[in-house]
Amino acid sequence: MAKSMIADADEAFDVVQDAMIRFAGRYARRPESEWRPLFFRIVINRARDWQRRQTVRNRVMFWRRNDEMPDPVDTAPAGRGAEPDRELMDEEAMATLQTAIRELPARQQQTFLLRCFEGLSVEETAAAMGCSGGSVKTHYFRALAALRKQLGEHWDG
Amino acid sequence: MAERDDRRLEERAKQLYRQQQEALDPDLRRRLADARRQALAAAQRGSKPLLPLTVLVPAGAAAAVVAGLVIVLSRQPGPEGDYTPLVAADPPVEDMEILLGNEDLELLDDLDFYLWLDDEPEIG
Repeated sequence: MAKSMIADADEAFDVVQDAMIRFAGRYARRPESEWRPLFFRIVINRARDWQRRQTVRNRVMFWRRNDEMPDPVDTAPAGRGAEPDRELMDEEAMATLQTAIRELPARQQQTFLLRCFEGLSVEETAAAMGCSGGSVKTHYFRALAALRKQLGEHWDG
Repeated sequence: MAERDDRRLEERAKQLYRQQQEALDPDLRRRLADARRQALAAAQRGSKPLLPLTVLVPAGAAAAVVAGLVIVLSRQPGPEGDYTPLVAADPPVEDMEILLGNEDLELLDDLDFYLWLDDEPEIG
C-alpha cells in the first residue's frame, strides 16, 4: 500500500496544485464560508479529469512502458517503525477500506470522503457536490450501509 | 444497532485516514506548501487588489488531507451508478483528437501539462 501511495502521490500532487491555482485565481473573492466546498469541488473535478485523461494516455502509451518497469527492489516500501504489527494492521485495514470505497457508486463515494474523511458539514458537502442536503444525507446513509455490508463485522482493526 | 455500527465505522475510518495523512512524506508536505505559495503568487499577479494572505490557509491546511482523497478518487473506475458529473463531461471527440493527433509522441509525456495549459489561458 505504501508503494502504491508513493507512486500515486505525484499525480495527486499535480491535481492538488492545479486546484490551488484555480481556487486562488478564480474564487478568492467568494465568501470565506464557500472556500472549503469550492476547493473540494475543484479537487473532485480535477481528479475526474485526470482519471479520464490517464485512461486515454494509458491506451496510447502502454507499449512505451515495457522497457521502463521499475526495479521492484528500488520501489520496495521502507522499513517499519516501532509497532510494525499495529502499523501493518492499520495499513491493511485502510487498504480494505479504500477498496470498499472505490467500489461505491461515485456519489456515495464522494459523500463519504467529504463527510467522514474531510469532515465537511451536510451543507458544505452539498455545495461541493452541487446537490441538495437531502441528497447528501441519503448518499451518506447508503454509503455507510454499503461499507458496513462490504467490510463485515471484523473490520475495525 | 446499525447506528452504533455506523458510528464505529466512521470513527475507525477517520482514525485510519488521520494516520495516513500524518504519515505523508515530508517532501510532499514541503511541495504542497510551495504549491500553495505559488498559487497565491499567481492569483496576486492576476487580480487587483492583492489577495489577502489568509485566503489559502484553509486550502493549504486541507491540501495534505486532500492528497489522500485524490489518491482514492484517481484510482477508482470510471463514472457509473448514480454518478452525476459536477461539470459537463467533455465530448468523446477530445479523446479522438488525442489519439489521432499528428504531434510527436514525446508530447504525450507532458500531456497533462499541455491540457492544463490549454485550460488556463489566463494564468502564466
